Amino acid sequence: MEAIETSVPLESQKRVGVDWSDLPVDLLQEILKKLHDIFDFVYFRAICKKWRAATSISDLPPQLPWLLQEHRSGSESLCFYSLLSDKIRTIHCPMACNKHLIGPSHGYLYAEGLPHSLLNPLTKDEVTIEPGSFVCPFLVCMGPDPIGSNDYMAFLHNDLGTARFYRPRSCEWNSVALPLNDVGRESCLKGMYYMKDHETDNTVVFNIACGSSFVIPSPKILDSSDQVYFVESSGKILRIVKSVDLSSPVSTPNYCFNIYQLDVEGEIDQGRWVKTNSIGNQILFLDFHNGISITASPSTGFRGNYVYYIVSPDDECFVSCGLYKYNISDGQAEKVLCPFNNGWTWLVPNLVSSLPAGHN
Amino acid sequence: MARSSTENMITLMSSDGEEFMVTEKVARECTTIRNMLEDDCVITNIPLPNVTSDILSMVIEYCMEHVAAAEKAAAETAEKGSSSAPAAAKANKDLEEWDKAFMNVDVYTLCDLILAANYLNVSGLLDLTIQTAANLIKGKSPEQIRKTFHIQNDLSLEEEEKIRSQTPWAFEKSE
Repeated sequence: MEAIETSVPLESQKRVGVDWSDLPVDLLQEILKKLHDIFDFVYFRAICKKWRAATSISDLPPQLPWLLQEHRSGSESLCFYSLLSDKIRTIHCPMACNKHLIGPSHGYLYAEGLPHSLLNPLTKDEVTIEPGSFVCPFLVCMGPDPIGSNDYMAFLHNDLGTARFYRPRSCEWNSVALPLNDVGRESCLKGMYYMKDHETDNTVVFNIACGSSFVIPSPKILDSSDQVYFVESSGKILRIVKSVDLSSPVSTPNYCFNIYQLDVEGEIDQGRWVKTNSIGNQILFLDFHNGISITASPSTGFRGNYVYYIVSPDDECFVSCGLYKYNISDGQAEKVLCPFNNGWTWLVPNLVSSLPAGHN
Repeated sequence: MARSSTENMITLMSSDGEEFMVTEKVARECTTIRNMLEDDCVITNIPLPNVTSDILSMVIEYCMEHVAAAEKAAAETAEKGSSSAPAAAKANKDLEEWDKAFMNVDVYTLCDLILAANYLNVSGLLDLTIQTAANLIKGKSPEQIRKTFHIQNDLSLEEEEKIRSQTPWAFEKSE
């Protein structure tokens, strides 16, 4: 490819006909679609008037998430690792200083502190969220897209079993009593709140709008160290069980993942979890509590049907801490090279500021 | 060449008047030409006023290579009853290597090939050339991209300032 850059002497640059700045808009857009790194996208739009005019910020191709490094208190910068470009991206973001950051989601991090907010470190958009009279807003899960979608986020008051759900789009608070008291950071998907009943391992699904709930039986008794994630993946609801793989012959067992898909025939309350060995072209990115599902685009070189997950020094698993990927089809886990081993959560870079009306 | 004599030949004429005789099968790789042939099956001479002879010869070279690869794969399938997976994978890889070598051109030729592939609607070639252009952009700074594609920076200082202020993180000097 180097030959392309050096093979044309400067004198021969004057040419009749079309040159690169005059390429038709539709073809410029085709090139832009292949630029999966947000830096390449931003630079493409900073080349010349025509390239800029041919494109808009909303043309950003689907992004692979960045891994956020554990945030040091007092630091005004966020440090991310981009898997796609294999680069560290340091983003100056004073709003995140001394806040506890929660993800993963598309574009926004939940910043727990005074005040609570949703913030996009790339656009510096910030939506302040006042939990009101909630004394101890235990956390929080976010829909895959906390701002763009009309889904709820939840704030839980752990020991009383009441929850407040927030709809960023309409700035609406709903305060409801949950059918379970002991709830962790579970997931809110498509207006339904998915919880694990810690006694039975069953899934309790709570319909936020109408306050009703139903139970989906757990296909298997879980080990006390197993962790359950609920993730929406290409329109399907997945239940992911992360376990220490004790069957593994190696002396340092890694994690393994069992994935169940919500099978709904007819009424949703007749749904059941069905084990699956394929999530198709999707890749799951998990942090310690929540996960997000991203479509693997062939031109990125990343393949679907993988789980990316972080191992911290506190984990019960014995492999060294850092970033790992698990191949769902063959059950093999391997370490992913990453410049830091204290990953915290994931952020899918997003440039579109989609603040709802009513927020500044 | 052991081509069957019954195969139709089509003459393509470039903007500078050069004529290229190709088989109908090769010509049909260009969707634009395929549509013309389907509308009017007796047509044998097609003028292509938007494509110069040097670019047209390259497009034809690409189409011939891809038709030959498809014919070879089909012949192997017919011979063995089914195509063997390793052989098919090797053939794919060979074709990818050929594509890669074919893309070893200067940026002006690349630009002309994109336009010709778009005009003649050769989807494989369009995808290949667009991907090549994207690969030349990846990982470069705006200044390096302009240098690579010989593009003048015609943005005003105000516009540049606006771009920098919208995405300051992209223009900060990193370690």
